[in-house]
Amino acid sequence: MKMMKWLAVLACSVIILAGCSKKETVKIGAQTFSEQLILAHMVGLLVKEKAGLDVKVVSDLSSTSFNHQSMLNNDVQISFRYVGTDYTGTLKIEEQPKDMESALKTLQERFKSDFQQTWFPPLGFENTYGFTVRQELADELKLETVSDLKDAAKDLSLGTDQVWLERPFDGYPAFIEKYGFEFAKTFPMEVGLVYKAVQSKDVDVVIAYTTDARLKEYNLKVLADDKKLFPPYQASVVARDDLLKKHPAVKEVIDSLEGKIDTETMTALNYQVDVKLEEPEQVAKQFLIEKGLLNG
Amino acid sequence: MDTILGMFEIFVDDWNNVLMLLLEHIYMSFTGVLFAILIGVPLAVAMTKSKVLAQSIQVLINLVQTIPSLALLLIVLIFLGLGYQTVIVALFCYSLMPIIQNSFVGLSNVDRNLIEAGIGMGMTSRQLLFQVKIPLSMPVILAGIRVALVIAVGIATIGTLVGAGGLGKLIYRGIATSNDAKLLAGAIPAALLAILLDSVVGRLEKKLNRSRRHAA
Repeated sequence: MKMMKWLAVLACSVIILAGCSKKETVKIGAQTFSEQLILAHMVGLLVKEKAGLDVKVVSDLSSTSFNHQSMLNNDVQISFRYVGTDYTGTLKIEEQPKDMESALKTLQERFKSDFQQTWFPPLGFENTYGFTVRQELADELKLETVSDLKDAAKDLSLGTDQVWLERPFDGYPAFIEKYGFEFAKTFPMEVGLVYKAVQSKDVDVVIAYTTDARLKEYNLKVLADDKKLFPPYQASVVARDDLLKKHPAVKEVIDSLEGKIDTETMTALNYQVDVKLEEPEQVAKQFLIEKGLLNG
Repeated sequence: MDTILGMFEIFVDDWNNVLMLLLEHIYMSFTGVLFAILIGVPLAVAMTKSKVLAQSIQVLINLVQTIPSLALLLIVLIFLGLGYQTVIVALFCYSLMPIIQNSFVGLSNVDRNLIEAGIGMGMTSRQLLFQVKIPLSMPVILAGIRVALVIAVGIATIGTLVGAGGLGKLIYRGIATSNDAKLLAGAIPAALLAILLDSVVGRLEKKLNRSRRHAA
């Protein structure tokens, strides 16, 4: 009975504690990889400073669809997306976009009308999928493009993130159709593991995220997507319109980041977290101070 | 060796964060199991009265047990959204089976002679339940609770995927950044918690068994 009493006390106290923070908190979603966490803290720090709102970063959302569902439920109000992923995934448009501008325009219109959300102009960097091999293997088989893998693929294994194999329009099914070959075996895994997996020869080819600093650190080579399987994946911010309407300062904050982070910068920030093992929040803060967006 | 040292470094430098995640972990596991006890034990009592009910509930809880944990979490997520409540409901579902199963077996196997003796002494059915059946089957019920707690601590590690925190947060952060020290800083406390709960409830079980033997 005593144990029950303690359990009840513990349960009540946590519920009360959780209740305390319920005033006006902006929740910012981040997926499992570090880039998302850095961006979430960047926007979080700015919203806290410039709009005076409480901020909570909800980390480890496992995929874009998860992320999107949480935005619709109002469990998070701001999240970070990539043009290609939302275009082919969230909106399920089968045809490849003609170019970045038309894709962006479609996203902005559809998100506004279908979900009452704003798709902001790109932050300035692109994080695309990249077919990636060890440099030695590339030298040995003389690999430059994805098509060069064709003859060797029947003996090679492929490691991917959790959802790529299932993505119909820019994932494995589309790949097989476009490139006309398959790999001997496929291993979906948490995306943070693919870099070590290919480096340590557990798999031969992986679908990496190209802004990840471990590509360089582990001496890996990204092969050119010569048949244009992948649409552009410019990164940006998506926010719920009700939040932006109620707090125009939040919109200003997000606008202030437009075009501020190029691919090189993002990779360098990821390097600090994934290789130097610094905390994402510190890395985000440092960046904002350097850019003069936040006072030190 | 560096990894182990790195793990202790995290415990020392970031102890308040680790402690917070540990408390979240304990809160989610305990609350899920607690609800399963509150619902499961009365259900088991009802099952001893009706064979049809017993069979249909057994089918149902076995069915729930076969749903993969991530899938169950996503199903609950659709209704309850991100946060503790989603994980707690999922853990509740997984805890039902060991608790109901054990309570049912325990209650059905109480020595007939003792029940007859109770009836002979003029006990009401409520007295019979609370003073004879439940106390005598307590060790078996506890064994079910023990299993449920250990499972719950394990499954709660994926709670972070629905925004509920817990020690899984360190584990997933460790995986995302190839930081083995951080991964262990989440995994080892979770494992220790499971072992600790297992041995504490196990000891309680033994104690009850012993006192029951003395009484009998």
